[in-house]
Amino acid sequence: MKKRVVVTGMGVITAIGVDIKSFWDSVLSGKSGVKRIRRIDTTDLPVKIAAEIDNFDPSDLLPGEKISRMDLFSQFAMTAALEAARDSRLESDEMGKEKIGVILGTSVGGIYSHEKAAKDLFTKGYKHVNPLTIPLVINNAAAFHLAAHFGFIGPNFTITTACTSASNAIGESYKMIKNGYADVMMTGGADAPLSPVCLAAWCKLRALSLQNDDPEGSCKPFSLNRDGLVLGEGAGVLILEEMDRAIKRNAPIYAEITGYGNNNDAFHLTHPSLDQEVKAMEMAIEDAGIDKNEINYISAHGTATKINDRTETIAIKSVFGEGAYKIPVSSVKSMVGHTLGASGAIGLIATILGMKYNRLPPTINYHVPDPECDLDYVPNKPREANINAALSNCFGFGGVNASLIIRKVVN
Amino acid sequence: MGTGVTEIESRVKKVIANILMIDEGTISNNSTIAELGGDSLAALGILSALEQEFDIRISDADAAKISSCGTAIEVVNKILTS
Repeated sequence: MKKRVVVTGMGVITAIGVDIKSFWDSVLSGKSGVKRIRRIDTTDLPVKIAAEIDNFDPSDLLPGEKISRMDLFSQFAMTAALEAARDSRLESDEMGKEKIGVILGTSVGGIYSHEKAAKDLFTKGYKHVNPLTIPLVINNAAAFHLAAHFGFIGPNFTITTACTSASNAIGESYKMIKNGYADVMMTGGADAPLSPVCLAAWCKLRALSLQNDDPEGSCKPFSLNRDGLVLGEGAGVLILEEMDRAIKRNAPIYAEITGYGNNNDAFHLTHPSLDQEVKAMEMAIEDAGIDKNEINYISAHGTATKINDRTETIAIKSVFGEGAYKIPVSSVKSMVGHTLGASGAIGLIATILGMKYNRLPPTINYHVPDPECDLDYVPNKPREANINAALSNCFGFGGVNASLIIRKVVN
Repeated sequence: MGTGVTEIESRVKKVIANILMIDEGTISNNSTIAELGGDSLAALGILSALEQEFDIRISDADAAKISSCGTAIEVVNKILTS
């Protein structure tokens, strides 16, 4: 018998809020986190904007020695994880930690520490390479730090599927509990891509917005005048739990995860495939065992590149037919930027908060409709609405597609 | 600049040949990058190699005009003479 899986805790850190409350307040006020990049020198780069987290100081949360052993992406993950565990009251849980695991997503992992070591080696020499570089850089460092901090000795691994990483991590965690391999999973994603080489490399892909003079207005998913994605950074962490266990310990229950679909385009590294996006959504709907017409909100991948937004719009229309025009679709990337391996978790958290507070997150900077993107994108302002079931999409480089379905839990 | 069109032409061909790993002799001005076996990622490689070869910056608007050897020559020539 399959188990039911619920969300019992959430934590987040983004450029528009460093915890759930500040994040949600910013979403409701349609705030953009995009600004001129301060962390690194962008003099020689065509792109000078990103959704950078200001004044991040992890010393409020952790002792200095622990911090020095974590790359920024692990620090973001830990910040969100501490909030999620507190929210879920997991730390006072005494039901055993053998079947509590961690699956995180990250796209570029410890790239900042990697680049720093490379610079030290090439400019100063071997003696100057940080001996902790490997433990800082490995993609599963964040998942280790979370497990070690909370004593979670169950399954632990990290998924790297570019922009789909967090959705895959959440989906695999859901399967782990559904099939009885774990009771609780700490899951989500973290990324810190604002390092010199990483940013330069993204510029070379010519996929980034060049609106340096209007940072807050730069990220325009689904608008005709969209000109590319804006990089962001941060983390989103969720606690997934077997429903009976959550009820037994009287944990907060935010939503039930009921469906997960994932596949690959096997077509092109960076160019999306319409058919496989459609199939990922259909797989999730089939897994959830619901009538697709019950879905009344879609958290879009919505990157603000020409090709993504057009393809995703067509894919949604081919899944839902005429019904697509009645489903509100929005992209929180318009506010938090594209946080790569964290984006699936941050999008899902915004969806769950929308479900809880009966508000749809807006797509900000939507001023010029695109005839090819003709759905209801919840333009610029949040909207009062009751979300009963929602679909959350992630379509990443490497042709990786993942869709998740959540439902409201009725007591 | 002292850079004649024919010299630009031969340097552009060399860049395209290097990125696509094909013989320069197979490239005519009319050949599109797709016909020569390149996809969108190869096109990014060609743009970057042209920027290095001629020490120029190619805007996204100009990049969108480059679909063949001939259009690449036109764009490089325009940037160098502007």
